[in-house]
Amino acid sequence: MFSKDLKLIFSDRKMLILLLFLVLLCAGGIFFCVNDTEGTAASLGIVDEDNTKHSALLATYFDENEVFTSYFTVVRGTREEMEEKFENGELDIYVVLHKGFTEKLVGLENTPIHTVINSTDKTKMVLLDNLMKAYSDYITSVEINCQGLADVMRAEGYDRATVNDRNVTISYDLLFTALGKDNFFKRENIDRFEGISLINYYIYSGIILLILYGGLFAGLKVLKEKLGQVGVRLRSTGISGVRYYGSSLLAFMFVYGVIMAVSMLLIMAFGDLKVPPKAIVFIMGAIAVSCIIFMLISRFINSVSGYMILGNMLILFTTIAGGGIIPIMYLPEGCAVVARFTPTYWFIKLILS
Amino acid sequence: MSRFILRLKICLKDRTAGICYFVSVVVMFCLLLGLSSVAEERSAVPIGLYVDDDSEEALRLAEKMRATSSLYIYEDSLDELKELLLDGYVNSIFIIEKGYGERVRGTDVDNLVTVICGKDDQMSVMISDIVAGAMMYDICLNKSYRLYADSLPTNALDKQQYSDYIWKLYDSHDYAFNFESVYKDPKVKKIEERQVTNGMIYKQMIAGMLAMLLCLMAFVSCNCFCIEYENGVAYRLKEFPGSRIPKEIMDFFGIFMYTLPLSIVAGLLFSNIKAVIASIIYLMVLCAVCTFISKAVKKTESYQLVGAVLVIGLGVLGFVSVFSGIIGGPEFLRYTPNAIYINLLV
Repeated sequence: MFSKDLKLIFSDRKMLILLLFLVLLCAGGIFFCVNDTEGTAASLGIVDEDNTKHSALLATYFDENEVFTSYFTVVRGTREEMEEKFENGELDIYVVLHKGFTEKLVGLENTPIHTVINSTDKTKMVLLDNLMKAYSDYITSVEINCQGLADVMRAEGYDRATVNDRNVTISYDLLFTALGKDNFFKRENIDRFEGISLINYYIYSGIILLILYGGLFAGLKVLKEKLGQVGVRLRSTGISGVRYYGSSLLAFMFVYGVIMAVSMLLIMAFGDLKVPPKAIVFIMGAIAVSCIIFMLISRFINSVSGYMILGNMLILFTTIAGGGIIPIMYLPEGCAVVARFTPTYWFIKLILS
Repeated sequence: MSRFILRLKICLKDRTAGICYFVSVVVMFCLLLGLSSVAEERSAVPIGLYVDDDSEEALRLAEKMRATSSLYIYEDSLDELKELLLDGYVNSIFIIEKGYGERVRGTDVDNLVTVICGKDDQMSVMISDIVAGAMMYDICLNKSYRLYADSLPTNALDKQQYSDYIWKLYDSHDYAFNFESVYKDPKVKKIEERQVTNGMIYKQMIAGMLAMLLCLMAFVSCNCFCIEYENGVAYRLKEFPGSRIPKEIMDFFGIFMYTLPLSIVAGLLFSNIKAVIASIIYLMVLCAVCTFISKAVKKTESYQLVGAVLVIGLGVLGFVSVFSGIIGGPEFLRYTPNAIYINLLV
């Protein structure tokens, strides 16, 4: 019975050729996406019109900031050069440290730094906006303390030269403190816990989607056989329902197991993905559970269109609620509770641990 | 025209499909509406915070972290927070170490806060930058007071009086240093008028889900053509008088009309007319593509296979496109169908 079910699956040659083509297309797409990501994705321009020691020091914040340098290429130049680069789409942001910036910083008056951010890419725009806000906190702290010390010293009658001298000393000290902010933190990496890149996250999510769709196919086959009275005819020949469904399930598990194993090998060979052994065991178990659930659903529905709508929506719902699209930490708490009942959640958890 | 009405009738007559369509869409919209309503709140990065020091400085830092809109703080015992980290509910844990206040007062600023995170996690580095901004207030205050108290021959103010004056400056907002940011699209030279918030990233993800939902509905609705080929109805319909192209176009419009309410509701989720129009146009394109595929493939299983790859492929490319700018993804991602739809909605 099992071998006949296998024969039945493999009898549709057009379907098999299509499947092979699609597997190769997916593997190629993943390979292309994984290997086409660059080290730094964007450019930040700095215009230092002030040309003082303080402004140069502040500009180095961008050169030496780990976040900036991991995502952005930092370039310097005149305002005209930066404007031209920005118009040509070569820059995502440029910051202008205007003339008289230092003078204003050390306590005379406060004027904001002019920045122009490219709004084409919303995600990058939000990220840059957040980084600028954090940067503004540093400058505010430095400026207020420079101003405060100068005010107190003036009130106590110190002469202008002494006030200026202390002002320069404290502003240097505080700017260096801001630049060395990484030293405020001691970083500890938790045992067996590794970060996961965004592309890989979606590839893992895609793997679970493929498993779920495999189950949907198994259910579709059972539904079409049910509508064609295949089960009834088989029962009349003495083959029980348990044997009929059991062999169908085994045949589908075998076929999907082979497809998933080939896909995994291709992904691991050409991409930058690691799939631990326990995750492979999980995948095999998930294939079985997915097939059983969709076969059960097909027992209660008599319309192919209805089954397709319900099945596909169920897959999309499971993927969203399981953190397959928005990572679990960003989902509302109610969704996070539902997530525990989805395969996507457990698979990502297995990969992370 | 009669073909169009006939197609619509066929779609609506399948009650099981109709009920499944209605229930699935209602559930999906409840989910998306739920996500949409918490977009601003949940787009903040969730982190664990453990305060191991009861000094005024430590409490002030914790308070500032809680008030930061880009952070979503979980506070619990350290073991519980580690559990949350391992389960993927928080990005990292920030521990304000014992003696934090004393060391800040002594201007010793190294290793004040311990960060527990995943290996090579860039997000926690970015969060550290935000937390450092909050730490700078007390650190700078103590450094400037140290210079005032230690290097000047006479100083009339004690630490409390000096601090009070500095905090007064902080509260006055006259010295709050800001960036004057202009958000500009260099291609169309248009300045972005909307306020930039973290919720924009979350809303892009919701738009991506809607794109996937539209894709899925167009795809499953066109399945009826495959069923008609399988039971021979499609071949019999060819015998009807009239040329083929208008009949195919009427079929397409029938399916489009069946799924139209979904696109309107999808667009309304974003509360603007542009989103509604974009959703209707996108659904129209998807229905046309799916009608073509289903009539070319003719078999339900093959169609489901191609459709699954289409939905997953377009979906994944759309989601990756949201972050392609910061991860250095290929440029073409921004021009994939779902990415264009996302861009139109947000």
